[in-house]
Amino acid sequence: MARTSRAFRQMHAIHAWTGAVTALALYVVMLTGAVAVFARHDLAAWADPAVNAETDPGFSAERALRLSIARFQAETGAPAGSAILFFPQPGAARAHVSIMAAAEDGAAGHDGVDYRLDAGRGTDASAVVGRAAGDTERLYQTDWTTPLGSFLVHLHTDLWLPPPWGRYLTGLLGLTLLISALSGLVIHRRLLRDALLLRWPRGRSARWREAHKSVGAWGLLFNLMIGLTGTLLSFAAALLLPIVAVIGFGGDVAEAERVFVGIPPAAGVERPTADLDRLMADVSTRSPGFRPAFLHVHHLDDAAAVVDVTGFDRGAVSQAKYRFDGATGAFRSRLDGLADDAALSKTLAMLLSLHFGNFGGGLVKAAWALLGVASAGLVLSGLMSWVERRGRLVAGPVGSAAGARLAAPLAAQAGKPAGRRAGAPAGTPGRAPSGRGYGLLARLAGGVGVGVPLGLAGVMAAAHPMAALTPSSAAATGALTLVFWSLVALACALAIALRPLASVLGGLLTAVAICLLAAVVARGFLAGVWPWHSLAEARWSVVMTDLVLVGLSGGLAWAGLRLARLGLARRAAGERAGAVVP
Amino acid sequence: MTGWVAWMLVLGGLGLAVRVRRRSPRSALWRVAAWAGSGLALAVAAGLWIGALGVEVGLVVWLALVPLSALAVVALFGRRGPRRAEKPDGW
Repeated sequence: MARTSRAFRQMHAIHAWTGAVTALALYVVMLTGAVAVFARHDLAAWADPAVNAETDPGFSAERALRLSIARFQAETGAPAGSAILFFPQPGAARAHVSIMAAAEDGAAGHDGVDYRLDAGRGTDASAVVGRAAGDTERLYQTDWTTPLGSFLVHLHTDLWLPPPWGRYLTGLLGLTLLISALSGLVIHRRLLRDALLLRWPRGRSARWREAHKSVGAWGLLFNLMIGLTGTLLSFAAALLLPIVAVIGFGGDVAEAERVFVGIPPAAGVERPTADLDRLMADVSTRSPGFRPAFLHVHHLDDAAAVVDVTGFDRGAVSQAKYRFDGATGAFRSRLDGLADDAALSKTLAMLLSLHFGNFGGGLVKAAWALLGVASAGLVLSGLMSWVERRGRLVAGPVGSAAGARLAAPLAAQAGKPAGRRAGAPAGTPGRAPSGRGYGLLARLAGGVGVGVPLGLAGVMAAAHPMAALTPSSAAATGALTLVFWSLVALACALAIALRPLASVLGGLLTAVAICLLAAVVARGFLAGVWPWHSLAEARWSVVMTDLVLVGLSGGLAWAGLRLARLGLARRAAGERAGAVVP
Repeated sequence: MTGWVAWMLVLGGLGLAVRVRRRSPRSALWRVAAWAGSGLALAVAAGLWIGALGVEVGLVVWLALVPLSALAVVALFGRRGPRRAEKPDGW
């Protein structure tokens, strides 16, 4: 019994401390992840009204590729080594083609150009609406079609820290989430019994605790999945592949990648690659309802060329890959098992699909976003209850003189003097309460808790003005990054400096609401597209985005004003009673 | 349409489970029937989604929408008063 109790306490400590140490960073990653699931298509369509909603029926993969290759060769004078075409998706007719220059040994190099195409204009020269050049890392950072999308995705995947440190950090945060979910499962002994009830106690911190338990219980599977896939995705490219390369390939990462992806070296004999439209028609015949995601031509116009068409078969979560001989256009194989020679890309694609929920349309993405917001709240509620509990043990309710007075009877109930540190002899007189550190942490948590939504709302509001003011998408992305972190820092500073805290947080929530409404208005003024225009054009993802922004704005304004009034009323009541309200 | 029907079944099944958990009916027959009905509704919903969306997507949709719906149902109908006197807090 004693051993069980000790193990339980240890597990509880692991759960509390892993969460407490990483909670704020984890909150940023989880909340931005909830928005980032929409970044590539829905928000891209919202952020760039110039792009058509529907793909032109005459859109041709072959012509899009050849058009981009011709541009690439005219601009760089280098031969193209490989090409990836990302297909337009329903609701946003954006396609893009990444052309990588051929390396000296005939393999695909790491420098190239990414062309953005408006597939609503077909595939003539006017369809090319943007370009980005650089190495694969740079193209990876700019390939999210709009500055807003690029900013959101990279905030989630690496917090805009320099590679590979950002990936390491988010990988560790994923691991933390996994550990917290598993330890939470162990310490919540009555998970099934409590899952169907929500106790609603009087104190706010007690409500934080109950909400934490309820969301934790129902979000357990999601958090386990997100933690596992996030950790593997972060470490797969940054750490696992280099380790495998060192162990099995003498440190040659490119060779390890090539073996796992299953592509033989180039033959060095020129031969035109088969018509891609014919290959796409072949895939549609083999898999009715197939939804293509991207097409990869390895060793372009080489006798050993290989074409991989990757996408979703009907009803599948993981992507399947249809492989063709590039020179003859003959079908080779369908790769969808973990045992075949595309195991690495298959595994990564499955992890990506599950992590971002991009396999089942808008409904799955909406569910992922809601679960992501709930999980972000879970992290914050866990931190707040930890701060309250630790602060209470040290000096009563965190950061308050009133709390210090309340602490004495509580400490007496617990059989120890208020302010006594662990390990001090029993009967030692309690020192003056010193919960300032926890008070500061509570304020910081409140600042980050509202600051991140404020930063995201500010970025939404700034997306169109920045696109209009800045010359390149990279500059616009940089400006959005500055806006986001400035607003988060401002919210933290206000939460720490001003009192009462509830009123400050209420005011910040109202600012979030104003920014969300400003996003819709800025889009209307600068792009000339108001919600009713999108409705008339049946651009449903844009209409939904506008509706969500306006609805959230109304809800947050109501909640913010209510919280601000509550804080002021409590301070007035506290002053009348001679207490200090934090 | 199938998706909406399946979602209604999920909400109904969860509502039934919350009710039986909250009220703890004395009749064992009623308890067993309620739990069985709840489980059946959830299982049929899973079947409908799998039939409409395929095994993989249908199952994942079920696994995502049941917790979300449960959070809403529990927050709306599963509230219960405090178990004991709560300590005051500083918020």
